[in-house]
Amino acid sequence: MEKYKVIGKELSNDQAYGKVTGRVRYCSDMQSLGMLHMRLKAGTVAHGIIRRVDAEKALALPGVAAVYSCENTPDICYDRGRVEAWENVPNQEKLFDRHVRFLGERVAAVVADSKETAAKACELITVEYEELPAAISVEEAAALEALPLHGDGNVYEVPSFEYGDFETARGEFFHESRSHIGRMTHLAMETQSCRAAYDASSDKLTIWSGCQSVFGVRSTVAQYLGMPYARVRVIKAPMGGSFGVRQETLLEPLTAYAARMLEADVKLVYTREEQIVNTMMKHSLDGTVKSRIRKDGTIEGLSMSCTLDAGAYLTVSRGYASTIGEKIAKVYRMPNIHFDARVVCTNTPINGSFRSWGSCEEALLLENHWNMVCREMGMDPVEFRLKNILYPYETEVVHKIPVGNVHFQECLLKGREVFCWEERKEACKKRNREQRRYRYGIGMALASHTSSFYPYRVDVASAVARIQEDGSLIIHVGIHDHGCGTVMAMKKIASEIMEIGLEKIELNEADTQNSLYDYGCYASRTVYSLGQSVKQCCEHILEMARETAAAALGCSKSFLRYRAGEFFKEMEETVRISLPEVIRYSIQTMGQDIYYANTTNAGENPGVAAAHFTEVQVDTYTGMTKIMHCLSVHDIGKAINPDLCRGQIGSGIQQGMGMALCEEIKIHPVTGQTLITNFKNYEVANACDLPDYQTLLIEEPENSGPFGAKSIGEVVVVPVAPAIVAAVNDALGTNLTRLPLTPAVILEALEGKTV
Amino acid sequence: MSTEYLQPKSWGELKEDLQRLTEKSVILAGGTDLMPKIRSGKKEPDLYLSLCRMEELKAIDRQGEWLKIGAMAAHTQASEDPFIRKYFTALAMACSQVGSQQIRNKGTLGGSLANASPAGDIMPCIFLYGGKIEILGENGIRSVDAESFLLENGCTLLGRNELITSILLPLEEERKSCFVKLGSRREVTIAQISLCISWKEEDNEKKDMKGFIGAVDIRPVEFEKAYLLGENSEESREEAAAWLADKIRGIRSNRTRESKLKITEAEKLYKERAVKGIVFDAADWIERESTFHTGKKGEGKL
Amino acid sequence: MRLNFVLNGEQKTMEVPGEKRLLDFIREDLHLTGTKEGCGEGECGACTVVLNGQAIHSCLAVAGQLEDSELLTIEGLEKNGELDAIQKAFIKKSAVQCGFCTSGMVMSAKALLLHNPNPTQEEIKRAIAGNICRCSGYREIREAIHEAAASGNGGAV
Repeated sequence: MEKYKVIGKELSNDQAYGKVTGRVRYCSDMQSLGMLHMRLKAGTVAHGIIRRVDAEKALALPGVAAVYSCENTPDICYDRGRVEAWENVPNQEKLFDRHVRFLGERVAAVVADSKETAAKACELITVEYEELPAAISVEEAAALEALPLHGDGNVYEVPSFEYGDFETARGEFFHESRSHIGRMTHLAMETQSCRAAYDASSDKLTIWSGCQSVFGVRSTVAQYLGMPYARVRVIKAPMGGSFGVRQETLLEPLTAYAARMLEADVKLVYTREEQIVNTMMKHSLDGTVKSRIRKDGTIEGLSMSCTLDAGAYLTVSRGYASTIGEKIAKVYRMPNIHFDARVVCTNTPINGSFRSWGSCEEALLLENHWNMVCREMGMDPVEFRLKNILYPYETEVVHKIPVGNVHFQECLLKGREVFCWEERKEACKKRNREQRRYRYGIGMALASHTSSFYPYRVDVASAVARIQEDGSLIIHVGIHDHGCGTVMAMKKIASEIMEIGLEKIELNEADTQNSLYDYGCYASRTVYSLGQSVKQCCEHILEMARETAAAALGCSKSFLRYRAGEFFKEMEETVRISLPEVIRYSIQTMGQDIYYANTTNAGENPGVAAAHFTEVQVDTYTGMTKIMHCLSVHDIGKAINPDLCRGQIGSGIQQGMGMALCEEIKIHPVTGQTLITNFKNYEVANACDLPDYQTLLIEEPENSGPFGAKSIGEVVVVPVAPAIVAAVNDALGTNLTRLPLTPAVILEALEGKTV
Repeated sequence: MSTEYLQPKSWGELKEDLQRLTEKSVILAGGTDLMPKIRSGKKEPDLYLSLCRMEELKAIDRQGEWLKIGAMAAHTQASEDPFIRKYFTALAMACSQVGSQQIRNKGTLGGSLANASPAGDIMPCIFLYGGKIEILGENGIRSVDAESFLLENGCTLLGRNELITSILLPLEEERKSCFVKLGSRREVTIAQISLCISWKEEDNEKKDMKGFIGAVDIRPVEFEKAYLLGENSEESREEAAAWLADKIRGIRSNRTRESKLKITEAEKLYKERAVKGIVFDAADWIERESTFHTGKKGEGKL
Repeated sequence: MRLNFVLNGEQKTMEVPGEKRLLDFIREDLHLTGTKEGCGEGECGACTVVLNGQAIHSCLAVAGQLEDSELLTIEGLEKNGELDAIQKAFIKKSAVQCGFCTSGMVMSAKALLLHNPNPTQEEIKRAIAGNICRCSGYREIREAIHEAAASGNGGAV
């Protein structure tokens, strides 16, 4: 096996020093002379038309620079989900709309010289509404008599998918299950923040945002303001976590608009309440899964149907729903498949991008179903999966592309062994016999995820590298580090190729002024796609340096070897030239700089494999579920940052626990009010709730990825919740599939039942 | 518009400052409950009276047959105090389970009582011990029973220009107690139900058992059948749980306003169903007669 | 009001409205932006600072409380170019991801080790139970605090 110098080493995060000392400046930390602060005013009706906005008192408050509302902002629509300038998007959102579609929606904004003044001024604004009947639930909104939220009705169908024919599929056993997933908040620790500064002297707008797509933000803002893209600069600021909430363009259009109008430097930082209500939530979803299974446990057919609540604006929801279907066949071999979905707009806060974009939903519906099938057929869940999983390089039938070097079997077998699946199964039974109060159970689930955009869209990944006079290296890549270490991964890749220390490599994150085009860092593509581009770029620039070295040394480049920043002749090692000497020769003698701009297009999308095994204890007296132990097994190809991969697996476990057991943003079924707007009432697993989990990485290299890497960022959360659900059901002998399984839900299920 | 901030350091200053409070003024103890209310705009104080420099209000001392706990004693301080740990174990346990470490360091016992949140963990303990509350007002300090301090409507009898200076708990050598709570997670959790029990240990028997249950009503509710938990049998535990479940059901059906977070039937019925869990937890604790350990300090001696 | 206090080991005297949120005072007046705001109501721990040796939420305190007190913020841990043992361990154990919880987490750890230089795993968990980290499962953070404690320097003032 190849020995790497930095790839696979545990070197922590690129900005770890800056972060442990509090020196890294996030967008909300930025201060400047004369900076103005924006605050939003939230609407008080779930559905209505604004008759009048009275800003007089607010404007009279000293320090207030402007008040914006539907009375004085353009009647132009944009779309927060847009990335490509040419993308076909719903375009339903305005800076301020007279038509208010959910309770808490922004209805006005104040810009002032301090955030306190802005907040005070917001309270002085009065808004008169004409209330309209609100459709809070999907059922109400889908009803014929429901008022349409937008011009085109409330129900949006998603193209269905057929492979084979589910209806005529054979299989002795037919099963049907229904699952429900509640809304969640991403809970990125940094609330959304944006700074925009307009310089009138150069007619240039600069935006700082801890976003996932600077080019997506730019296309939306520049078009909205009618400015040439070249004069709008978007800089990716340090990001205090995303989990999907930084993927869409939320604060930037409004902040940029104010900065331009006022010719000022304006900052908008959300409160936690705004973060929960006014960004987006994870979709609430209802799904039905049907299957036909043969006696021996082979899957003959699968049908999945789901309905997503989009909230008040469609935004990305149609794509999100169809992605659930597109991910349906990445794990199992199924000769007959049917998928259909619909999205419904309701008078509730917007739902949108969330870590894994459909994989979690798909896995919850599917894995809950398989685990129920196993319980009903008396099959072991691991054995059932071993019969049905795809082999490496097998074709996935939705996109008709190979799944790559993916190892479901190894994940299952290793996981079963390390978790001591059989032993735990017996131990649970024993403990259940020994006492009455607590029920113990085990569960598992299997999942996959993507590594690139292919073939959803052309995956464009570019990198520029420039050797500096001292042999150090500057790389520009349109990367957006979420904090999970992708900058470190890029640096390691460059360092491994260039054989220079990490301290000699400067890597600039996405900045529309300096980076080549990139869609953005989502779909877990960063290391696989951008990493490959960085790798090729460095290989190329090293080749250019080799050619220069050959010229300088007066020999063919085929005679030259390279080690640790120096070229030398293999036969005559004293004849050597260092990188600084190469660059000097190149500039001084040849009159050329050494740089390279590289663009790659991923032509594959290798799947990753993830199996999660868990043991729970359910307190039948209180309904509380405790995770006793769990194991996450991940086939992610070569781990560039194994330390940070494990950290991310931990976050997947935390979020999966939340999805399964406790996290839910409740909306009042009548008023449409968001009932949970703070962390006091949002139950999230803390340091005491997390079990002492185990992680296992299976590092079979993927040939098409840089140094064999695939992806990790999103798949970590995917199998966790369905495994926990299975364990709870195993413990209680139930078939609970309405998440989250809160203590109240569990006690309700146990009412009158002997377990 | 302008806000005033007062931070007295002596009784004299404090008494003077107290007289300046208006309807809109706030008394700042630990601030853990008050600050979020100010931030959310629920309160717009014209004047802050901060007690943080009143060192005298932080002391925990024995005074004859009583333990006097200064109103500004923080939860951490109380949970580590040797006297409280030994003679008022339930209170020490409650204090050690309040919020997070940061909240326990900052939040005060006096603040918790003045705030009188139905989900507060301290009030039931003070009820349990038959504690008294000392109040400083215009005419100096007066002392009231905890049970009369908290009115039937859930408000306290604190007037505008009054504040709690200390809590008095009767020292009884042979009395033991414990506190258990059910929240939604293991740590940093708000009580859904809390239960505190005290008893006398005589000839290996548990006598004179008292109990209060918190977070099920606007005031702590007396657990009249607490004696059942001293009987050490499955049947008596079940009976205790059933009695409490009935009690909670009764409270719920008399309530005019439902909690805004409880939407489904399962959520509304949760407390009466789950109370069994903490009854058994408390009974386990009583049976084991565990010594309460969280800190490193020695047990108190009279 | 006129405030006398010690900031990260240095005596300071400043004029400030006593009721100003300590968090705002630290970030806006002292220009120390390492202390973060995650929720503004004492539920996430991102704003944790050490006041008189104890971890508190700076979003629930007011500036007046600094009077005659010692305030330690994340910026005060590095001394003469050397990181605190906790900071070193956070880097070494890869306990830093997005970093937004890191300052508060480190300060909670600092307060813990000041009182209890050899905490058990359970005590570590309890000390950081009020600090939310969404990027991890807290394992690397717990290991880092444990490592700092083991180095014997985590409780150094």
